[in-house]
Amino acid sequence: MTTFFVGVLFGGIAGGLFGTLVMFVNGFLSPWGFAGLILPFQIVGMSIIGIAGGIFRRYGVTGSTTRVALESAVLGSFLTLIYDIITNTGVALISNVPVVLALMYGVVFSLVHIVSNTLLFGLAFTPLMKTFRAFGELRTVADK
Amino acid sequence: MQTSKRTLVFAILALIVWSVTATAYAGYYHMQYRQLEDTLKAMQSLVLRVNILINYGNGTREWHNATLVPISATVFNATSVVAEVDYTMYGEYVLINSINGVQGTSDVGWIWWIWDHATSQWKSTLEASNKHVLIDGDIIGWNYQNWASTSPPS
Repeated sequence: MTTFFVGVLFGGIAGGLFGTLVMFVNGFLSPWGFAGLILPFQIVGMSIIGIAGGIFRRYGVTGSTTRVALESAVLGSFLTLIYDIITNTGVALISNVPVVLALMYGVVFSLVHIVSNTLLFGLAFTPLMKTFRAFGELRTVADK
Repeated sequence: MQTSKRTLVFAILALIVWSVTATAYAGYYHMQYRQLEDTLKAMQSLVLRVNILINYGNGTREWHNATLVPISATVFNATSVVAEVDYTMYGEYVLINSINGVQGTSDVGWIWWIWDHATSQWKSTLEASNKHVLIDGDIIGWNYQNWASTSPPS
């Protein structure tokens, strides 16, 4: 969510770089321990989310509050799905199991991940936008 | 981007998420089903399926069909799987005092029968229930009856 929002605020390149940094740091400092070989896949997945934020910005974060909330919820679910596919593919390649099998084994976690991110994006994105608009940080985006 | 086109794009994204997750979940469900099926197949060589009748003698009859019990289980073991059994050991022989709280007395008590597939009739043996080893497909019946009676479960 934060990475996506950075993409919306500062553009796709900044969002992508931010996603890379976030996952790089997470790979070493996560309470789950060192990410290991999965780290590059996590970085790619999170970078895409940052870049997607930039693309969303380009096409304009416009419309009613409900519309923006719905759009961000859909993007949240879609990007989480992409992220999970990429990381599960990484797990499959590392563990030498078929990708489809890895996706199926990870589907329960993915469902929880997607549902929670859909709710988070849908509920939190619009208030965040409003807050930043109030600060005048997003004048250019808001004008589009 | 045009509003209608934009709506279409987001609808397609939502449909992609739904279709991919639904397909993956269906695959996961199928995989779990297959695993359980394999486990069951492996277990089937280690278990027996028996049918157990408990006839309380007052018109109430309970059938416990396809009860799974381990290989070399006795009538007593199988009954203990499906009912609350109170018993007393006399040496190595078990005497059933009560089944599901229905207590035997000096006049009536629990007698077990086994279905003879060859003659299609119930038959009684003089064995203690913990001495008769079951085979797959056995049908046993517990009858709450007078000790002197020779009537099989009805």
